[in-house]
Amino acid sequence: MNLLLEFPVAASLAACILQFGSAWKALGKGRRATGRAADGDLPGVSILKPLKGVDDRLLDNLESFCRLDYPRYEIVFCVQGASDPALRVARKVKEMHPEREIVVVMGECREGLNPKVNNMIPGYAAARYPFVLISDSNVAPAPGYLREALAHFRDPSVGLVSHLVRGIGAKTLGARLENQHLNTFILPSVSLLDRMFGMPCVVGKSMLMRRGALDAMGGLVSVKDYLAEDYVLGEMFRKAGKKVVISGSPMDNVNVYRTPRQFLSRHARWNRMRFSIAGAGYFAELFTNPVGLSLLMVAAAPGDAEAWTIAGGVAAAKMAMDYGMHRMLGDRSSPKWILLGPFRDMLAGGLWFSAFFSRNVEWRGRTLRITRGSRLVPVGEAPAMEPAAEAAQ
Amino acid sequence: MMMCDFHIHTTWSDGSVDLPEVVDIYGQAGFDVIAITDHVYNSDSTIGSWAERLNKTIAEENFPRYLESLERETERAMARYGMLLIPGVEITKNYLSEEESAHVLLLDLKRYISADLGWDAIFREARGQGALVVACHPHHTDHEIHDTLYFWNHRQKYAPHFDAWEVANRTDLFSVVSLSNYPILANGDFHKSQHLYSWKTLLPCLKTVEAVKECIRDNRGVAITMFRNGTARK
Repeated sequence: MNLLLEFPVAASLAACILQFGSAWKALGKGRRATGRAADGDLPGVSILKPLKGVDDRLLDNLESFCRLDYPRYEIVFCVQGASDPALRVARKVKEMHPEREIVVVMGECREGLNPKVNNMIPGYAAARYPFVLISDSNVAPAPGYLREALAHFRDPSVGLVSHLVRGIGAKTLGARLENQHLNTFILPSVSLLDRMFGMPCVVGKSMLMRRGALDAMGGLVSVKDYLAEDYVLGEMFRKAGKKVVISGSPMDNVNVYRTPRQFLSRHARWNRMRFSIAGAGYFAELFTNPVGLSLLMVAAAPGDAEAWTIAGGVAAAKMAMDYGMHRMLGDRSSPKWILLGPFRDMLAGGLWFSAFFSRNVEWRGRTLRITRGSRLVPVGEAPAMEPAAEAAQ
Repeated sequence: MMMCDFHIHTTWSDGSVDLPEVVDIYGQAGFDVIAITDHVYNSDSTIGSWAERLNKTIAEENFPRYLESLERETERAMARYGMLLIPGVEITKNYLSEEESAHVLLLDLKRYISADLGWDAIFREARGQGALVVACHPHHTDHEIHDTLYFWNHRQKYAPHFDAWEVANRTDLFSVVSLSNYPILANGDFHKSQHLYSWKTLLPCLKTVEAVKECIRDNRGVAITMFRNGTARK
């Protein structure tokens, strides 16, 4: 047996147990803001929804924001260009919910390199309430979501509230891989960083902040050239001495028909992004994949029966934890899909290495290079210094 | 303009998505009009006989149940999404030779029509029911395993029977059809969820079955569009 490999396998199993424990604590009631404020005391919120194409269940996702239990808010649908099929759906939602304040902003902003931020800049200018919620188009909140998120701001030191993300709705293999990865790796990792290391990792699918505070830091424009605008915003608030809170109420991310290729491509991009942000810290991620490491052990000694036994035991233990997450998140899909876990772990292990092979991403027809802190530069151009870049680093 | 797709398959034949789910996919994407057109195979072909054995074809026996489920979904599609659903079938005559093979969409069909009938009888029966008759993928395609060229090769004879010709199907565009000046439609030939992103028809008319049929027949102001989820590569 190779102790050099046995130790990392044991360490990674321990890391998974910590992840699981952190998720359990994070999802517990203690992290949810409680106490109901009177409607008259609640500030108005502008919900910015950057739209791009028709995500799975787009109409339901957008409509779920029309059913929020909150007295005063507007929804600002942001679309880049009249040819985007999401525009038709946004207009339909506006027609179906005349009782809601809904604005559809169609812009052609090309200010930055991050198309999502470009898409939101005209909507941000049109938004009129003192709080801004940035919310992706593929999420569907529960009616109490906004009230719960706002309640965190009763603590005046809070600058930004983000949410854990739970993948739901899978009907294809790619979507099952996606949702499992979100539920058994991303969510526990975000919880671990937040609960154990005090490093709240802002998830761009849901970010609530005071507009005045964001404006004081330069507004949305300050993150226009970052791939991980969510991480950079979190860092900006932290550097400004404000707390970043990860709420214990998970936000549903709807993935129904993703293909395996979409799963691989998205997480290869996210890995590159995390490598550019974490640098050497990215290597710690290896220790969250005990299945991948135990398979390396088997590959190093294929004739060793003990290595196979350990790999089998590790896979079983990891699936048991995956099942625990499945229960904890109230996942409605059949638990039999937990059996897909070791395969997903193998894929995730392979994807981990992909971050070292390229730092380029293809985004809306442009090739961009991810540099330090997830700053984007067009391939072939040198990055210019910006105050926000320094703030993020 | 209304966003329309008139060529959609479900698990009633060889589609991979069941009917309610198909309605949800199109409804959630903001479509205005769709037609469900599952295959009616000719029984004298290998594909047709296998489809019958596997219960993957619309046949005389299951047609009433097919129509019933379409009626249920028509109501739900309108109530939930404001989307019009038109019942139809795709008469599918496959032979070894692609020169002999041909597929035809019959939209707003009320009674079963067998694919074992001759073409003239099929057209006569469809006309009798007031159905719309559309020639499917009439030219060479990238995605069909077996091209269906019969009607294009005999267009002088058959053109008067058609209300429209598919000038685009899924990702294929048939420029020869557009040059012919025949009335046109563009459809997705949906079999699985990714096929949502494909050629579509835009119609300038009211959202009723009769208005849609009339608009296609007149073919005035009909436009086609590639329904894409991403940005074109530069």
